[in-house]
Amino acid sequence: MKPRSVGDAVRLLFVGFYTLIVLGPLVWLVVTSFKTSAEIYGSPWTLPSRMQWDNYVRAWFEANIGQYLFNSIFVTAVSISLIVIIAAMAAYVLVRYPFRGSRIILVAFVSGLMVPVQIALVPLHDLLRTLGLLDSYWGLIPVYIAFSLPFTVFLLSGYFSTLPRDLEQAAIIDGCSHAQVFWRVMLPVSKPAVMTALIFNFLGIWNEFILALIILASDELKTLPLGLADLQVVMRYQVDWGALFAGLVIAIVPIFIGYIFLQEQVTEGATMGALKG
Amino acid sequence: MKAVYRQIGFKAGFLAPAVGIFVVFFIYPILQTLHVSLYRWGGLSPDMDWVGLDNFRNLLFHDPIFWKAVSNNLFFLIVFPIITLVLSLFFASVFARRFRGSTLLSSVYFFPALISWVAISILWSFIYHPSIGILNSLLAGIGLEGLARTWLADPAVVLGAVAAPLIWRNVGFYMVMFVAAIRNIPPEYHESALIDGASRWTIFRHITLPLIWEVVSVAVVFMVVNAFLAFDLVWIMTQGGPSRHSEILTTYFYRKAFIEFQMGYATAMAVLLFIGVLTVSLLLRRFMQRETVEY
Repeated sequence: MKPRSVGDAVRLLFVGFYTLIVLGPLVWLVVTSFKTSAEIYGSPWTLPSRMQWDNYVRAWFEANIGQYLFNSIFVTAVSISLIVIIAAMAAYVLVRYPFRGSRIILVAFVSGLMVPVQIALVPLHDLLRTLGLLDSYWGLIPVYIAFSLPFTVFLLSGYFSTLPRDLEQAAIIDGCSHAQVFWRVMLPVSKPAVMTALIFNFLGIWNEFILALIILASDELKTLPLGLADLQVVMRYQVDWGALFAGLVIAIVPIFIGYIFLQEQVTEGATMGALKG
Repeated sequence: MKAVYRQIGFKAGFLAPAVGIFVVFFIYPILQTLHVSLYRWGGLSPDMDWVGLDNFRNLLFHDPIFWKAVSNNLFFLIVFPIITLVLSLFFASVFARRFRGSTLLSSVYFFPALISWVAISILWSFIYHPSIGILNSLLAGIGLEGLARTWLADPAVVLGAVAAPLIWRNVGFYMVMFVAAIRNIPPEYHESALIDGASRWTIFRHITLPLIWEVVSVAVVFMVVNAFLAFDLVWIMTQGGPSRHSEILTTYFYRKAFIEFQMGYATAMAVLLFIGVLTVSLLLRRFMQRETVEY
């Protein structure tokens, strides 16, 4: 954009300024993650004299970030796969095989969109304790699935209801059972919606904090957000800022890489969530 | 007949996992919350004392911290949406006309929306940090040392300081939504207005904005609900401090429930929180819909 008028020049100036506001903190984070503690206490504007990769080693091993990262990958991967399968099966039956009461079930799922998680926390904690599922992924993952169902069912039922009838009929004539039609025909043709659902739920669960906070207690089970929050408290006393900054970078990098490769889908998946309003 | 039974089995089998999990881990806890809110309950012991509506009465009439949290919440859900909306609409109007680098820049603006609140909260705690933080040193660098302070420990500025990352994370997100909406407007609308000699502000105010109003109103409701329910950010940056100056309903709820173990009192607060969110978003939607009719 070449400034053709005063207005354009002003707009360009704002864009430049805001770019600095967005990038400044991120660049500062990365640069600081390579500094020694002494350098961090010096000026925030200087570059590290030598790249302190050791910060990353300490973050990964001593501060357990490596463990938290794998925990997050595991919990997120299992949760989002199950969410999409379970929600797709339910949404499919609800919109393609309507029966008396199917409408009410669909409405019940979708009204869950308006419910803030806080309203369920206390009884949920109590329920998991009674079932012996506190401090275990067997408790965390079903809860993640339950809280992701409203949006996922909403999204997928909307998509399924737009698919043409002929698709199923042709498959049935070919001798497929109802379940086979779903797995072999309907799910594959719904790839765009499934992709959106996967990405939306990935972001929600990868970044989820409060449910993990009330459910998980053991250090070896903690997910990244929980581990980072703990680390911040620990590092306040140990004053190992370098490792904490490195830990933050490790938490952000996977998202950054995913964003580079899947930019369009990620943008779509993330903004779809605004429909929740 | 056999086929009919098979279909029933198929339907039940496909519905069972979702309905089962939803009933056990979603519907049951919500209903249970309504129940627990009528008791005094320490959480761990099975003894629950029936107190009727006392929890609600105490919250509404005898708890100044609750009202402090409500007013902090109001600050959040007024200031954050207004600033975010103005900035994201402004940048959307700039980015809607492609220019060299606009695609790359808009992905940069969008990126913070993907980072977890926890990571953002820790990062911003460091930005505000009095000895290693970048903000005070930046202010000193441009000759404004006088403004430097311990941002997260100063009652006068702590709310604004906590709201800043909320804005930082969201402007690019809403900008991208608005850019998509603006690009859906048929170009003829703008062209004919330009021929008529309308200024860019006039075009934006009278053509662009009314045509994307639907998206804008959804976005505003979304922003307000998010501001209402923000938890991670406040909990990690200040835990509601200093001395409750950044306490909001979600952090106060968490403290009551899982630190002080006043489960009955906390669930009553959760019920009020739910009513609050629902009321605000319904009112807002009604209010903004009426706006649309004007055009």
